Amino acid sequence: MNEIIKINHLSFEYTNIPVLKNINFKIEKGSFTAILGANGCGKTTLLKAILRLVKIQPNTVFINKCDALELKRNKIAQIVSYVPQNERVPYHFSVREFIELGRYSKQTSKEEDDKVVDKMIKVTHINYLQDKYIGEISGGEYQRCIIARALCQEASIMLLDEPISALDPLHQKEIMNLLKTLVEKENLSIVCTLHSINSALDYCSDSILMKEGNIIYKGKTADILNKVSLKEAYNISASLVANPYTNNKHFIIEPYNEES
Amino acid sequence: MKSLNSKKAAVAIILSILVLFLIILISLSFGSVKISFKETMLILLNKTDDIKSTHIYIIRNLRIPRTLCAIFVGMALSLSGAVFQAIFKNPMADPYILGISSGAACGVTFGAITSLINFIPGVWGTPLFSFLGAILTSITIYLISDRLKSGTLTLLLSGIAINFLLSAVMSLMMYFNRNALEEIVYWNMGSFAVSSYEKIQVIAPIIIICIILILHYYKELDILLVGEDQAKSMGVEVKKTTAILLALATLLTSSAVALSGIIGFIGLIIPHVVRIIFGPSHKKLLPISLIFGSLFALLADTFGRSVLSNAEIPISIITAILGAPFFIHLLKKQKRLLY
Repeated sequence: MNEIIKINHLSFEYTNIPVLKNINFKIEKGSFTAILGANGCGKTTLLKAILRLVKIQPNTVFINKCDALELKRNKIAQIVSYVPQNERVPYHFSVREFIELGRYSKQTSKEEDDKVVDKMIKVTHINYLQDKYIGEISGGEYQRCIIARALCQEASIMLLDEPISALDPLHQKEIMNLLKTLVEKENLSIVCTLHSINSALDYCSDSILMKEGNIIYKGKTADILNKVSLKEAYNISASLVANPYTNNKHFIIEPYNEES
Repeated sequence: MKSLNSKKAAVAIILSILVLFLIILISLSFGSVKISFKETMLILLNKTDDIKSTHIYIIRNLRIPRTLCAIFVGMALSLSGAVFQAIFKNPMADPYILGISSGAACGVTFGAITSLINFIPGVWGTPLFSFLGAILTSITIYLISDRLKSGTLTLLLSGIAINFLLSAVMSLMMYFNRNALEEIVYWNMGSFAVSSYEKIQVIAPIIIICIILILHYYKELDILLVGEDQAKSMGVEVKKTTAILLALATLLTSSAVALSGIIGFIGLIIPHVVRIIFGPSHKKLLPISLIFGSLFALLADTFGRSVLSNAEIPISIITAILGAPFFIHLLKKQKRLLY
């Protein structure tokens, strides 16, 4: 398998408080990886470090085997795209204008740009939104628009920061299904931070479980998510229960910890 | 209110260019000495056989430079307003409110009072001191907001604070230099009354170069609006781009101040109006702001010098009187759409 991203002894501190502590992992082509962990464990910072949005040390982040510090932003944008959390656009761009922004790093002709934008609008099922304004659409629709914008970068890997945390269950499902389709059909690799353990279980081939700036577990999602690891990461009591009708397994989180 | 689609926008742009030409003609004809449109046209076309020499003199030596001055200042202020609003992601950012115009005027006043300006050859002294004052202000505001790292509101407030400070400095210079009172008031109030070809020859090329360079950055300006992290992740070298745009917009502002003194409201209101009519995309916003900006400055100046028979109303007063109610009306109508 080809590795797209390699993180090598990455540490980061903010105002002398360590946020990431000696992080090591690889992201391979075609994988769908969830980064899980409690609030404040460093998930978002980790994504930002990959994109060089926070200050990193040399030889800690490698994109396509090159040190990220030696790559121009334009070059990184052609390999890695980003869907941030809680983005709100101040001005009233039309949905199409907004998605077209993603073409910036490609510097191709208007015809080529239009072709890609059309394709990504189709892939993300937002044809009906094209003539609307960004301010007029719902949260779920907006999330699709940002994904379409990121897809327009035609990068081989997409990083998403909690793409479903502000959405209702139906829209959560729609976005996760869309991401899965992108991995399977568009040959995209995805890394996303998630709060929903069950979404990781349902959709993500691999997972990274973080606690207080460290990676405590990494590997195949089904292998690493269990009662013990979840207790360690979140301090919760969770049981894996099978749906009697479909046999799909999901975690049920107990309202109280067992010992209390 | 939805912004116009491309076809309607094209028609609106052509119409506004036609209106601009009409206003140029009106502005050349109007004034304390009324000269007919026909005469004005003939003088412009250089067919001056049967025309009074005083009229030729007034049009050629007084009104054409004044009109050109208004056009360049209108363009410079509205474009720099559009750029400041995008890089600071704030609809209230404009060269006047951020204190950059005051910085420029302060620079010129300082140069004039200390006679340092006289050491610079030709007419370069005014634009140079204007730019020095403006760039110092820009850098100060940028450093404060960068150090405090608490968003665009801080930046705006630091701009406002610096504006107050510079006004106080100007007042102080006025207080201690009664003989330079008139000059200081001139830089503070703004006027096209002392426009000359000489000044325009020096400053217009700077304005034109800045405009051309800024127009190249329409994509970056769009992306910067989305957010700094997003812009970086989409491939924009944010720090470098912001620094270049800030320098160009500051140079534009200081050039405008060097031509006419401080004129408020144009940089704030024109990009807003254009955004509401044509949408926020800088591909349209920047060039149309140029047209609308010059139109507005010219209209305000023509109005200011023709409404009273024996005196001129300073242009800042006109831009505020014309601009403020219109702006409030638009704000009310567009409350939700602006930000």
